[in-house]
Amino acid sequence: MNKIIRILSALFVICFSAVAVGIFVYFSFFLTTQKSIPVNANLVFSASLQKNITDSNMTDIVLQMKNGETRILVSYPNIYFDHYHAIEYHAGNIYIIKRINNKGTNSDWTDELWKIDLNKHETKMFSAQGLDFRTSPDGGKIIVIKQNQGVDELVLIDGSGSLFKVFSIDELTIDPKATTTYPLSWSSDSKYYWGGIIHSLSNNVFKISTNDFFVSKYQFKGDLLNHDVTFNADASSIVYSDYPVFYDADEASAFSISGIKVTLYLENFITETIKTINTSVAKYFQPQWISETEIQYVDPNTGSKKIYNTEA
Amino acid sequence: MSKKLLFSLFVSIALVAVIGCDSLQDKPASNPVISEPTLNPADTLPNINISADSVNALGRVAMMDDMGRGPVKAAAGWQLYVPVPFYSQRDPHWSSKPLGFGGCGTTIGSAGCFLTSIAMCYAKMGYSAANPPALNDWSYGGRAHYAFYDGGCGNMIRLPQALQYPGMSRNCHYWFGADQIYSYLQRGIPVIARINGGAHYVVIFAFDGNRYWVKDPWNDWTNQDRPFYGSFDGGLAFGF
Repeated sequence: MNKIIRILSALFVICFSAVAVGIFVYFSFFLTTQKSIPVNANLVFSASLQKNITDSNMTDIVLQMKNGETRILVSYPNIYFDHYHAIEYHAGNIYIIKRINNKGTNSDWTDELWKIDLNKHETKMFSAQGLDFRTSPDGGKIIVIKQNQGVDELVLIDGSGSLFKVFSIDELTIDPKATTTYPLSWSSDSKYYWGGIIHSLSNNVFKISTNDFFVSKYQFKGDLLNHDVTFNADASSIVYSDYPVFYDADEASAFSISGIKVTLYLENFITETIKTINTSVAKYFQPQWISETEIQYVDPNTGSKKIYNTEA
Repeated sequence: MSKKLLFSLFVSIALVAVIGCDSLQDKPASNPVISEPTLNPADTLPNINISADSVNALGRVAMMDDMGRGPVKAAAGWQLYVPVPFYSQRDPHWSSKPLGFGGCGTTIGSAGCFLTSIAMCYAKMGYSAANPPALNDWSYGGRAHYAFYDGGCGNMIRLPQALQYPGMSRNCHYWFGADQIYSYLQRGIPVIARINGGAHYVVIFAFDGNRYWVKDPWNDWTNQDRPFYGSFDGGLAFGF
C-alpha cells in the first residue's frame, strides 16, 4: 500500500510539475515571442482597446487579424479608454488618444493623438484639451475636432502631423450661432471629409474637399443624433427617420404607444432628392448601409430585415 | 518526509485539483435586491408646449400675486435667484465619454443635457460627487449605469432611478406646468425644464422680474446663464 501511495504521489508531482513548467513557458516565452513577431499590415483587420488584465493602469492595443485571431500589439498607460472613439486602424497604423496628466483637479491636462505603427514606433500627431478625430482610409489626412473657447473647430493635418488647415465653425455652418460639429465619415478615396452640425437652429452637413479645402454645405432637416441616422460618404447620401430624439426613457415609452407615424427617408445631398423608404407606427428602423446602393433595415411592421436598393 | 505528511500533501493537491480554487475562496455577497421605482409615462408625460413669452408672462403674474401679499425680498438684480452650480455637458473633461451604456455613438457632450441638468440640481443639494460623468457611470444594486435604460441606444435616462442617487428615495414632482415654476424658485428649488418637445433640457434658476433665466448645459462656463428660450414642455423639481 505504501509503495502504491509513493508511486501515485511521485506521478502526481511529476504531472503537476510538468503543467507548472508548461504554464511558465507559455506565459514567459510564447506570449513574448508572439509579441515580437513583426505583424504584416495586410493581415490586420482592425484594432481595439482592452484593459490590461494584470495592470489596471495599462491599456492593451489589440489587433484583430483577418483570420479571426487576436493579438496584443503593445500596452500603454494613459490611453483615454473612456473616450467613445479612442482608436482607429488604417493602412498599417494605429491612431489612439492618450489623456496626459489628468489628476482630476489640475488644469494642465491634455489629450494627445498618437500614431503607432506595427513595429510600435510612436509619433505624436496633435494635442489639445479634449479632442476627437477621424483618419482618412489611406492614413494621409486626419481631421481633429477640438474646442476653441467653447466652439468647435476642425483641424486638418497630414499623416505626419503637419498642419494643412484649420476650419472655424463659421466656415462649416449655415447657422451663425452654431457651436458643435458632428463627425460623419471620410469618402473611401480619402478625398472628402463629411461632417455635420448638431443642436443648431438650422442643421446642415458639410463636405470638405482636401484637394482645395473647399467646403460644400447642405441643409439637412433631420437630426444627426436621431436613432436611425446612417451616412454613406461615397453615395453622398444619408438615411434617417423622423423618430424623435429621446433623452428620457419614459418619454420614449409613451411615444411607443402614441400611434404616431414615423417615416424612414433617404436623402442625397448632391441631387437634392429625398425618397421615402418605409413608414412605421411609432417605431424606429435601425438602418445600415451594406453597399453603396443598398440599405438594410428592420421593418417594424414584420420585425424582419429588408433591403432597399437606392437605384430602384 | 514522513508518509503522513506526503499523504496529506497529496490529498490537499488532489482536493484543489478536483474541487477547484474558486470554492475555497470567499464568494462575494450577492447583490442586494432593490426595489426600483417606476413611473407610468402615460400618466405623467406632459403635452404642454408653451412659448417662452407665455412662460415669462406666467412668471410675472406669479410675481404680482407674490407682491400683493406684502414686501418681496429680492436678491440684487433678481426677483428670485437660486444659486445652482454649473456643469457643461460639453466640458472637454467628459464630453467624449459615451452616454449611459454608450450605444449609437452618443456622448455626454452630444446628448447629455438631461443628465447634466440633473447633475446640476444634485450639486445644488450638496451632492457634488454626482457630476455628469459620475452620475453617468453610477452603479447601484449591482446594476451598471443605474440611471439609464439599457434598451435602444442605452442612452436614455430612467428618471425615477436617476433621482435616487446615492441610493435614497426623495420627493419629486414630474412634468408640471409653467405656472408652478415661480413657487419652486421661491422655495429655493431649481426647476429642470424640458424644452422644444424634449429636444433639450435646461435648469431654471432665477427670475429677473420680467424673464426666467436658465443654466444651459449646452453652453460653456462663460455663457452658462441665458434667458429662458424655446418652448416649455414640463418642469421637474426634486429633493425638497
